[in-house]
Amino acid sequence: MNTLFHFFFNYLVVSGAFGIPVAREEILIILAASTFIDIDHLAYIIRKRRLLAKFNRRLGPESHSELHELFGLTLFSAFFLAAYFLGWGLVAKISALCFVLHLAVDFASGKTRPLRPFSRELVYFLHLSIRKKVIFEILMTLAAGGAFLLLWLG
Amino acid sequence: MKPIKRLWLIEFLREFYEKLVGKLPLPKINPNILSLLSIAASILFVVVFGISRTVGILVLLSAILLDGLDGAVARKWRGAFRTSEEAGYCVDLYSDRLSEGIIFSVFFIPWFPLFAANCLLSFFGAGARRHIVLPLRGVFLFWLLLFGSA
Repeated sequence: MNTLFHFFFNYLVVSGAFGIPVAREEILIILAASTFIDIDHLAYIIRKRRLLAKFNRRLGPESHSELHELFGLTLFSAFFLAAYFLGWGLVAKISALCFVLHLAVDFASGKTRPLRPFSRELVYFLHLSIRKKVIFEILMTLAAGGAFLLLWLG
Repeated sequence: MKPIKRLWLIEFLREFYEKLVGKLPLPKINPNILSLLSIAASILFVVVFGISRTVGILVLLSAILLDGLDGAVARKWRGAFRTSEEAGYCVDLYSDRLSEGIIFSVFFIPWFPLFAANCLLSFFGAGARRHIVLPLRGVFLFWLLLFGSA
């Protein structure tokens, strides 16, 4: 799922879980924690840009690293735990929730290899053509964005 | 691929539970969808718990039951879906950790350190083809029922 959807959706869940209203600094934490993990897509695009341009390839499960899977969950849970004990309590909680939600949304909407590097098994729930996937993402982002605006203004 | 090994006690309890549940009229639904619904129920739980504890506890219970049902449904309708046993195991293990991660990010102490330990167990367990995890959500549910708050 796209980065904008991750931010809107995570904002909605965080505001529900930790209470409304969410302060300005917390919005920045949500934004950062919801998006930083997508940097591994960027690394793939830079590495494979010629291949992507030549064969018009999609950003499949190989476009994200193990950080998007159980390995990343294990690694970053230790990181968030350390942040909590270093005195960054709320930051660690919000970041952890946003990070796990990001992985959960990508797991539900895309293709992943959850137990990489131990298993190459590819799992997915939605198998859509590029056109349908784009329409699906736009609709989901608009819905989440609308709910975000309602909560933000209301 | 080597088969997944579980501790004999876990295997015994699992078989007993699945025999018991197997007698129920289980729906012909892809077990992976049940795992996904368990994640959705966890998200709903963290949002709802602050508003109504009773509804929150019921949602958490449904998340645990959905997770418990997927194995029984998979065995009952074996071969009915185009998913391999390996894919089912990947989905089950990963969705359990995601569901726990969502819940214990909010109820951080003492649960998140246990969740981190569970992730480690799952990760190295997947490498060694052994299934060793802590039933954290079940324990958490008992905790909530006994003490009313986390």
